[in-house]
Amino acid sequence: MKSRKDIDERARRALQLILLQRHRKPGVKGWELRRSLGKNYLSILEYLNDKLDSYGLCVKMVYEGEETNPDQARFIVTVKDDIKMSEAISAGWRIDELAILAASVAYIASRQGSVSSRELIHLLEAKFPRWFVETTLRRLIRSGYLEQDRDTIMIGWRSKAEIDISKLLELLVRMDFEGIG
Amino acid sequence: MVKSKPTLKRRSVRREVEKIIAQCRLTIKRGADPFQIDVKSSLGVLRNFLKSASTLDDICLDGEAIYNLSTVVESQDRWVKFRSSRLFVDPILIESRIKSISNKVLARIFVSCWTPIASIETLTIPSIDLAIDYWNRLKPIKSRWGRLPKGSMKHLTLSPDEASRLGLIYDRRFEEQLSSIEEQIRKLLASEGGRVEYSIIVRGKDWIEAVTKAYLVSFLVSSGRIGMTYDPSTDKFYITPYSNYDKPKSIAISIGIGG
Repeated sequence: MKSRKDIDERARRALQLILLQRHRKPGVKGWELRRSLGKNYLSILEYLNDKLDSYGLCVKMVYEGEETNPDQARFIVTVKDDIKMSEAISAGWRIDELAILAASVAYIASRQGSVSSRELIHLLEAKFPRWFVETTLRRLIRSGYLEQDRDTIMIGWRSKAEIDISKLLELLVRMDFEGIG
Repeated sequence: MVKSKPTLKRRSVRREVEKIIAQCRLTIKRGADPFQIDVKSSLGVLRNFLKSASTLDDICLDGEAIYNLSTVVESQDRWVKFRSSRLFVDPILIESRIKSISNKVLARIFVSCWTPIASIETLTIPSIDLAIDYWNRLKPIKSRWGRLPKGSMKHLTLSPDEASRLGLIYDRRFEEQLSSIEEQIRKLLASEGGRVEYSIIVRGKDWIEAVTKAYLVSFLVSSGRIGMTYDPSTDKFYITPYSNYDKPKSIAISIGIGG
């Protein structure tokens, strides 16, 4: 039986591991948490999740591929509720980049999760110059929001973790934009 | 005339099988509606084709067609599941919505569905310690580069002939050699019925000639000017005319002295 102090100490260590970005990708793999926190790391993360709830954050487990073992999953902390447009802008995003990300994710999701890059660029070119579309898509692929396999573009692991895709599609179809943002 | 009739019929069935494979591949690649392919009638065509199949190539083609049809059936299963899921929305509707609304509204919709990752990019005290330690141990740049021999940056000159001999620049003779061996292979293919053993083609007077020929043949195969197949029944490689349905793959073939 672990003491409360010990669990708090492990939860603190888990939060540090998840939040401190060591590589280009944020978050930490399950096996890294297991190595640092022990085999019961999932219950420590549940405890941490309860604690973070009061601060508007939550712990998420994301599978980057086909695997189903939590040791291979990536653990991240995300904002729990929606953010405001002003907060997104202050985080370094441009409205045009957000629009391209929204359009790409919605279009790819409606096409069963993958489209050819030519089709996607053709769609986005209706609103943005080609150089801007290509630069932004490259940046989104690099940061994990989209994935590219030869000439096919898919939804990336980061979009799956951060975006409520069904809500995005629903809002686009309903065209009910009142009270958003 | 009597003999050519079944050949013509077989050829047309073969073309139909090739068409089925191409259709399946295109449908999967484009993510189009997989129900556009009539799997039942395609299987009927394959059944007829298999009855008249006489060569290993025919059987391979049949296997390839079956494989491609099975991927279409798999895609049909996914298609049905996706259409019945909560995520299904008509792509044309989404496309028209994306085009019709302003970028600002699109960004606002997105932000309302977005919960970004929280992370900290910061230097820690241990990493600063590590950096200081590295800096203190690092030797001056002059002492690290001083090991290079003197005069190593001296500019050298080479004549085009010397550079060509060393293989540093493109040699026009290479294209001539390629064309010559390609012509020889095409003649052999025509006389041998469309398949020639690889070892016969690369055989030379000595080992150097064999290796040169093997290099030229590998260049021709890689650039799609001729094809290459492996026959497991004889455990030998054969040179064939190029086919669009050949899957690109890398193979290593050892060449003994004398080809």
